[in-house]
Formats: sequence, structure tokens, C-alpha cells
Amino acid sequence: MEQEKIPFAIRLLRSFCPLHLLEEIEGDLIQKYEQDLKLYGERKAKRKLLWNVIRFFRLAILMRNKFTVYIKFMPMIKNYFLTAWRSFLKRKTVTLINIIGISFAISFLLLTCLFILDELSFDNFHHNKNFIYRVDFSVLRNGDPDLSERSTSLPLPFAHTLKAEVAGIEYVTRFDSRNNYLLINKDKYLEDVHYVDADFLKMFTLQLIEGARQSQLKNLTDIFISDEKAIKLFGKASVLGKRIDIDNTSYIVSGVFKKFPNNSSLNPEIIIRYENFPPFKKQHDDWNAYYSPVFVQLGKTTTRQSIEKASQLFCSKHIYNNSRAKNETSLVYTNLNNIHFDSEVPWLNVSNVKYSYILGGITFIVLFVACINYILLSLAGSVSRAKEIGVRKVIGASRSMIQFQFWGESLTIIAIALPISIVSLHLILPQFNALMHREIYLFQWSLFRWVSILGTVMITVGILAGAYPALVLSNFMPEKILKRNANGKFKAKFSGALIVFQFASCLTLLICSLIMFNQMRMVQTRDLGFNKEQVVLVDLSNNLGVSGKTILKNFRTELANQTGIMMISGISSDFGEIPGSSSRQDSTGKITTEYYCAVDYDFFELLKIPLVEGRYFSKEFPSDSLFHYIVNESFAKQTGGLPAVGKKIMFNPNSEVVGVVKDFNFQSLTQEIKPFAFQLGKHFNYGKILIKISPENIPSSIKKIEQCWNKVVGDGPVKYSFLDDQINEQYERYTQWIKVISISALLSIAVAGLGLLGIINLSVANRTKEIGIRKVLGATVFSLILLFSKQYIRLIVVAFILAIPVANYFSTAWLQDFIYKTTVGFGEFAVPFFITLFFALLVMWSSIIKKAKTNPVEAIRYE
Amino acid sequence: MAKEYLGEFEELILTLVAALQEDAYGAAIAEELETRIKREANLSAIHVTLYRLEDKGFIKSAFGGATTERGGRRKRIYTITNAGLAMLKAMKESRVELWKLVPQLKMIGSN
Repeated sequence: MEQEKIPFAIRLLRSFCPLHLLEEIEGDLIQKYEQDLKLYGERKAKRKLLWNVIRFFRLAILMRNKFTVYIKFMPMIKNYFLTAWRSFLKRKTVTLINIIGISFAISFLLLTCLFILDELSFDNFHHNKNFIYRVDFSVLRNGDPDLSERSTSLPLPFAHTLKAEVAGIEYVTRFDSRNNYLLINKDKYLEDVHYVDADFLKMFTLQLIEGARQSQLKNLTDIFISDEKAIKLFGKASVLGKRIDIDNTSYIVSGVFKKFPNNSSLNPEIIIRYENFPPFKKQHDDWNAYYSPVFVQLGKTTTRQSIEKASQLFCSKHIYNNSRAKNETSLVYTNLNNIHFDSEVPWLNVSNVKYSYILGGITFIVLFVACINYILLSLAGSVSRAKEIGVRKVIGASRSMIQFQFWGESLTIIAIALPISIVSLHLILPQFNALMHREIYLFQWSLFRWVSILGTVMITVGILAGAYPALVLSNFMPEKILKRNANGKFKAKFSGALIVFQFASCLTLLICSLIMFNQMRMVQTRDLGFNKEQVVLVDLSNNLGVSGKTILKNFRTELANQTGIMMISGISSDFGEIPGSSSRQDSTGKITTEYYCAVDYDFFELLKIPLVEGRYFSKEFPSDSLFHYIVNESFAKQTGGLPAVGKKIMFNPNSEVVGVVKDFNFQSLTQEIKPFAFQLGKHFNYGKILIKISPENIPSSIKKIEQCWNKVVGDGPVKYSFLDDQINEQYERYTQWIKVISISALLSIAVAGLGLLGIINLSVANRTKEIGIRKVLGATVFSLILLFSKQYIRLIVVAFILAIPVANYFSTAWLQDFIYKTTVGFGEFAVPFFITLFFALLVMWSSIIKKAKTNPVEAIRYE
Repeated sequence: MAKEYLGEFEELILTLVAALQEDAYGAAIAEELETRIKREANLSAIHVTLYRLEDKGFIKSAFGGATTERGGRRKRIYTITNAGLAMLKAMKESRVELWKLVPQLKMIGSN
């Protein structure tokens, strides 16, 4: 065996074998190896050698190591702890600031982890999730892909024709829901009922509690119910064979399944066969009846691209020929995994990836601010630590030992901050969940996941915060330190840059949240063109057995002349929903769309929408209920301008426009005012009753409406809401995030402010003698304050200048969502700046003034 | 009999140390085990046993002279102590005693 080249096996042996045994063991192993070499050849002999070495890795050998080697280091480590503890105690404020900042940062980091993992966990529990797709119907407007609109409503005969004609589809199911009255033992309940095809059970993973998968939903009268609903409706989960009446049909419970978890894009609780879907009964082969979403499960060998290609032919065959939609249409398959993030299409629980990024960005900023605090504070404190390092080095500490000491210190701080942040997160989570409509809990993770995530968090934060002190402070040359020759200039520049970044990111957050706030205030207080106060909306969209029109008529007679009830009307759809539309292509190829909506008498009067021209609908003109229209200004403009009264509506030669109303924001302010035409609901049903009540004694008016409902419809509960609430609901997802962002902006400002406090405290302490001398020479308290705060004010101004374009960029991107934007002016930028500046000055002066006021004699005697 | 017991493998090693005398070290013992009683033993097992016997005071060890073989590593030569010898003797005698109790039967088929 050659001396110079030590084989791996022997090196391995040396790594664990006790020194005093090493020589003979090595000798024996080599002897054995040389024997093997003759017997078996080099390769096998080497293998045997390695194996023999590995066999020596056993307790009986390992325990013969002399552990005294390590004990030698113990006093040193003990000393590290002691000095760390002393420096913590010596600088209590600094330590506290670090702990607070880092616990904030860790809380945010964990919250983001929880949130993102929750987002990613959506729909994960379906075994076939990789093969299940939602079929979206995509319409290209003007041939421009940016203007394409996707919808999930598909024609009623679509699903089964698709399965029959396009190869590669294993299962197909329609999926729709309706609010229905359930009749159980003569008790009425209002519940969401889902209509699906029998394949649904084969595609999606339902955990059955009762019933067998094969036999279910075979009959049209089978009904499936979740355990939670079963307990709500029957008081127990075991309800197999019970009867539920929906819409005059009796259903027999044939299966009970475990309710889907919250992180699910589909949440059916009561399932019946699709053939019971009311429109299906009438129009099951009507290609113009666009109703329900369709899910397909592709075969294992079919890809999305191939199926989309195959569907193109299908689309041109059925959709082009059968529908009025002459635009470019195609079918888009969205995988179940992506539905949750597909915010272009309205869907249950759908969320925008943007929000994960926003939360991630905020976390980054808070983490950044807290870590900078740590770095700055250890830099500012390094003057007093420098001597310690110098002495350690002179005694013989290596650079890596000093690094170990500083990493250890930052990890200790993190270890203290970690439990604090977990507790605070635990307290915050319920509020966060309520705000975001989530169910995220700290204890939903397995222990393994917790340990790995906390480990990662500790190491990340430790590296970010502790790296600089560890690497830079350990690099000090002992002779320089002991000669008091610290490179102060470089440090000042570096820490100045850090402070600028810190405040720039805080200011960005603050400016953005202020702009968002203003936008929301503008949206909520803006004159929408109608009076939304004291309007009660009664929901008629259920299968009530009584038509909406009859209910409205009876409401009118019942509530007439009641005190508190001022006016009654009806509308075919919800506010914000597009009821119906018609698109045309003009000679230049541009497509224009108009929207239609049915309303009842008094609609415009009730909402106080002023007329521009003509008149309102009136019972004095009987022909109003046939083909007379009232249009809004946009409609008039689009179809040839004012005066519009007397003109005809495009597709109806008998029609006549009798009035033009002023534009009002029928939809949310994220959209522009669209051209609308209103007609009386002769051929339509009403979805909502509008009741204007007087501002006095609202509860009694509500009571009257409830009584009236019971009389007209029956004993089911009335579903009502206030119009202004409903309008504000449209902006809920914005207000949610504004709250999150503004709270985090304030938090990060607070952390940065604390950091500033710490730095100034330290720098004032380091310059105590200077203050004393200056005072002796005649400096006033005020001039001292100015001297010390001047540089920080300058830094904050620089930070502000940096923050302006960044904040501007982000807020403009956010405002893109709205058609009606708040004006971003000087104030939106100046107010956060002055708040920050004021806050910073307060912090600085409070710490300087104490030192500046002390007797100079004491200051000079300091140390 | 002494309070100390010896395992079967320990006894084997101890006997071999006694037998090999100046040549008793790890690799040699392994070789002897293999050639004489056709028993394949791992080096690590032999070493561990040797250390244990040394702890118990049945053998003692000293480094042998440096050689050019074995990559220049010295051998550790084990020699049996009086206590070890006594132990070995005691064990042998007790075996003989016990063996006498066994009825002397002819082994079937051995001829």
C-alpha cells in the first residue's frame, strides 16, 4: 500500500476510530487487504476493505474514543454563553428590539408559509386530480386573445355529445347548484342542492360513510348528503333510506359522505342526479341553453393539448351551427389543480396568485427590516464588542470560533423569538381566517413538517441576520482593534445604505396602503348614479313553487299603504350580474355589445335615477309592458346618440325607446358603465324584489316584509339583504387585502422605528464624551439634537425619494383593476413621509435629549 | 470458578492468544480461526473481543517492532496473563467434568 495516497476506506476509519487503537487496526486491515489482493484481485479486495472498515463502526469501538478531547472546548462554549448573556443584559433595549423585530418577521414568515401551503393544498385530496379538467368555453372578441372571455356555462346537451364524439374522455359530469327548499317531515329548509351526473362519483374522491359507491346515484331519485348536512337536517349522521322532498319530487338518501375540506374548489353537500335540474327537463337538447359547468376525466394517455385540438372540430360542428355566437369560440380545459388559481373565471374559493405574491412580498419586507435592525445594531454595538474579539484572538481563538460565537448569538435571539412568534401567530390566526375566509390552523401540520419548517426558518433568518456580524466582526485584526483603529467610515456608509433601504421599503408599503385606502373610500362613497340607501332586496331566485312575478304582485298589494314601506319594484337579476347581452359586428369589424335587463314599474323612481329624456315606465301606457324600452345614456350613445326616444331596439322591429336615464353604475366600479336597455318583465321572471323603506324604524319595516313573505310564499325563511351592503360586498376582496397590507405597513414601520431607536441610543452612548465636551464648549441642547438627528433625517429623505417610483409602480398596477380611479396626488406621498419623519424624529429626540441634558461632567467621566 | 464468565467466542480468542504466543495479533487470529476451525470472523469482531478481554485482565498487549509489511503499521501483540490462563484452565476442567457426566454413546453412522 502506498504511503502518500491514503485510500478512502482508511480515511473513513480515521474519522471515527480512537487514536490509540488506530495503528493496529489499520495494520490488520491492510494485512487482510494484501491477502485479499492476491486471492480476489484489486477491485474486490478494495470492496472488502471498505466493508471491513464499515464493520468497525460499532459502539464497542466508538465508545473507546477519548471524549476528553471535546470537554476541552466546554469552558470556551460556556464562556461564549456567558459573554452573550452579559451583552444581552448590558444592552437590554437592543436585545429587546431584536427579539421583537425578529418575532414579527418570523410570524409573517410562518403566516406566509401557512397561507401558501393552504393555497397549494387546494383540491389535493382527489385521487384523479391530474386527469380531471373543467371545460371552459372561450370566446375571442375581435380575434384578440387579450379580450377573450371564458365562461363555465355550457349548453345542456354538451357533456354527453362531447363524450360520445371526442375520443380520450373517460368520464364526464355536469356540475351545477341551485338554492332549493327541502321538505323533511313537513319541515322546510333552504339549502344548496348540487346536480351532477353519475360519473361524478367515479371522478371525484368522496369519502363515503354510508352506502356503497357502485350502487349510488343509479336512480334519478337517489340523493347524497354530507355528514354535516345530515346532522343539521336530521340530527344524526346515519340517515340512509330517509326521504327528502325537493320541488315536489321525493328523494331517498342512498349515501352519506364526509364533507369536503375547506380547501376545496367544489363543495357539494347535497347531491342529486343532473336529470332533475329544472332547465334540463325542458331544454335538454337545446344547444342555446347555456347552463352548467362540465368536468371531464381524461384517459391516462390523453394530454390536454390533444384533447383541446380534438375539441376544436367538435366546437365548430356544434357551437357555430347552433348558437348565435359567431365569434371565435374554442374549448379550454382547465386542470383541477389549477382551478383554484384561475381567477379569470368566477368559481368557488377561487383566489388570485397575486395575493400569495403580495403576502410573500410583505413578508420579505418585514424580514428585511428586522434583519437590517439586527445587522445595524450589532454594527453599532461592535465598538464595544471589538475589544472582546481582539482579546479572544490574542488568546488564540480562530476566525471560525469567533464566527461560531456570533452565529450562536443570532441563533439564540431567534430561538427566543420563535416561541413568541408562534404564540402571537396563534392569536392572530383567527382574525386572519375571519378576514380571508380561510381555515388555517397552526396545528394542522405534522410534527415532521413543523420541525423542518421551523428549522428552515431559523436557519434562513439566522443566516440573513447573523451573517454580517459573524463574517465582518470575526475579520477584525486584533492589533488594529486593540489600537482602537476601527474602520468607522466604511461602517457609516454601509449602515446608512441599510437604513435607507429599510425606510424605503416601509414607506413604499405605507404609501401603497394609503392609496388603496383612498381608492376604497372613493369607491364606497362615490355617487353611483342611484340612491342605494334603505333599499331592501328580497331574494326570489329559489324554486319556490310560486313565480317571482306573482310574489311581486302580491307584495305590492300586501304592503301597499303600510307605514315605513315607501316603494316596491323588481329586477330580473342581481346587481352586478350581467343579465343578458347581444353582440353585433359592425361594418368595420368592431364588435359592440348591449346588455338587457328586465325591471318592474317604479324601478328608476325607487332608485332615484334621473331621466335625461322621455319618461319612466307607467301603467298609463299599456303598451309599455310589451315592447317599450328605457335605455341608459351609454346605450343611446352607442346606438346613434341623443335624442333616442322613438328609436327601435336592434333586434326587435316593434320596439320603441320611451326614455333615456342618466348613466349609473349598475356593476362594480371595477367595470365601466355598459350600455343597458331595460324593459318591463312581461316575458321574464324577477329574481329580486326591491323595497324602499323609510329610514325611521327599520326593524319594524323588516318585520312587515317577513310577515308579508310568510303570507305570500309560505313558511320558509325570507332571504333579504340591503342594497348598500351588497354593493360593498363587491369590494370585499380588496378591503381584505388593504387591511393586511396596512397592518403590516404599520408593523414594519414600528420595527424600523425601534431599530432606529436602538441605533441612536448606541451611537449616542458611543459619543457620550463628545457630547460632554461640546456642552462644555457651549453647545445647546437643541444644537446637539440637530447634530445627531441631521444624518438620519437625510437618510429618510433619500429613502422617500427612492420609495416614490416604487410605490407609484405598484399602486398603478393595483389601480388597473378599477375603471374609476382615485387621483393619486402629492398628499398620498407626502402624508406617509411626514408621518414617518415625525415618528422617527420623536424616536431620535427622545433618546438624544436624555444624554444632551445630562451634566457634562458626568458625560466626560463616562467609562 | 471465578465470577467472570467467558462467552464462547471470547474463550476461542483467548485460547488462540495463548496458542499463538508471539504471533497473537488481530489479523493472525482471524487467519487461524479461518484455517483451523473454518470459522469466518470479521476483523472488527475479533478486535472488539480482544479489547474486552484486555479490559477484563485476561490478556495484555504491547506493540511489536516496526516492519515494512502492513503499510509500516506496528502489530499489537497480545499475551495471555496468569488470570487468563487460570480462567482457561478452570473452564477446560469444568468442561471435562461435565463431559464425564455424558453417557459414552457411540455416534450413530460414524463408524
